[in-house]
Amino acid sequence: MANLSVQPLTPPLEQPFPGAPDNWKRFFSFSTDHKVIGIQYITLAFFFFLVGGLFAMIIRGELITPEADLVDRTVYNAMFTLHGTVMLFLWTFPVLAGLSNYLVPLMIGARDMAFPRLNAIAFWMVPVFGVVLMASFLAPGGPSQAGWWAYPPTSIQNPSGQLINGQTLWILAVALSGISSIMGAVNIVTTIVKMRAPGMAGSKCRFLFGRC
Amino acid sequence: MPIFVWTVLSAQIIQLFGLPALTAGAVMLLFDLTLGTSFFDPFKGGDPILFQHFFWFYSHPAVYVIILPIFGIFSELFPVYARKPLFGYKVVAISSIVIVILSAVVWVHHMFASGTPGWMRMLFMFSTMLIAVPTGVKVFAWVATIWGGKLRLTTAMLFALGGLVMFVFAGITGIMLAAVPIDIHVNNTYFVVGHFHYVIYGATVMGVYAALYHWFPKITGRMYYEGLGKLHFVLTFVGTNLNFFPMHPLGLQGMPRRVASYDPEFAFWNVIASLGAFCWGFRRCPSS
Repeated sequence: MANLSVQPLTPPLEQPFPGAPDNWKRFFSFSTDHKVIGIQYITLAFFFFLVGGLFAMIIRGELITPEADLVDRTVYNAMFTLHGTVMLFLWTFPVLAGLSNYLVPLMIGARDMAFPRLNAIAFWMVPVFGVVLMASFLAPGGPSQAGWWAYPPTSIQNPSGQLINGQTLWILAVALSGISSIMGAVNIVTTIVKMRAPGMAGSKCRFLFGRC
Repeated sequence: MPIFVWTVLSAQIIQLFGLPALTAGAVMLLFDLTLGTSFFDPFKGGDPILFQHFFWFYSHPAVYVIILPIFGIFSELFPVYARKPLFGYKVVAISSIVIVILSAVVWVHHMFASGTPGWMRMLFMFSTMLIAVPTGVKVFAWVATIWGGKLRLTTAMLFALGGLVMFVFAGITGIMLAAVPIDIHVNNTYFVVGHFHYVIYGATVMGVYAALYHWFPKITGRMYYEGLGKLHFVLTFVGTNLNFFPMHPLGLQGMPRRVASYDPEFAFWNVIASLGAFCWGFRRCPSS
């Protein structure tokens, strides 16, 4: 019997699963595999979900009696500011980015995302700005107290007078989050527009992309 | 193309055109804080309202960035657990794109009380209410998908159904908030907080849980415990509603948001809300 073996046409740049299937170390590495990145996103997001939930517990614990007695008012302001910021930029966006990363290439029949390294960079910015945001607890004057929308008359007051204060760190974290999300958006849009399996091209999406 | 991919594409297109506005606003704010510029400082001739435009030009569409993939998850899950194809695939896909287009012209509804001129308020009230049309189309498509199907009430389906119910409630309060007179009345009260949390927790987090339970066997190769999952759903659904529903009567009575102390007349609903919050706060370890 002839010895048949299937060779890939072009050697893949990286093995998608180096090592055993349950090699946990790859989840802490700079992996470019979209499934690994998806799980990294989801796991990290759940960690910050707990952090944001802890802040919410403090808010509700404060509000259970009419008087402001559980925490100081500045702490309370910081709590609702960070609750909103953490829940949006460190839980909702990352967990949805993780689901999109995991599912979209599988659903459209692509081998990976369009830019795997960009994908990994976009993910690893999330823990970076998470740490930046949490570091505002150590900043002079404590974390930002301007609410998650940071409206100017409140947010540009800088009572501590320091260059590095809670509001500056908040702005840095949000700007980094924006850059990370833009990277992810470029990646996902390119993947969906350009990397669909051939059979998926004409049949289902003609009404938007013409003859894509 | 699967409907989840359609919704993710729509959401990420919003990210592409919206996020630069937020980042630009944040950098200008940083300059105001550190370099002494005065983009937003009214005492030096800046305009604080400008920041609100920068902020909401992205941060309202951000809500659609969040909710659109959830629409996709609902559209993927209901056909599976009702054993019927999705009702109106093409319309659901088109309505996602319509939401993307409309989302670019609604941001001023966050600023009805910021001295916005009357004609602008009318315009944005109209465009905000228009959002309900593509969204309502989706809701009807899902209901028509479930209608007459052979339902299997697994944990994933329960989360999806719960998310749908809470999303409809959030949509109703959303329409109320879009109307300028009501918005002025409840501006900066807990009514807004309640509406927002029904969208974000009620619909989005429930949708994320539904997706995670649905694809958990695919991701991990193991099955979750159905009983624990259902317990998780019941605690989440009851606790969430206990927590966020009381915010609506509180807001209508006029309790402002972001205060650490309040009049004793508001105590009743606040106690219920806090107890509800603790009820699901403690169970929220990822039980999957």
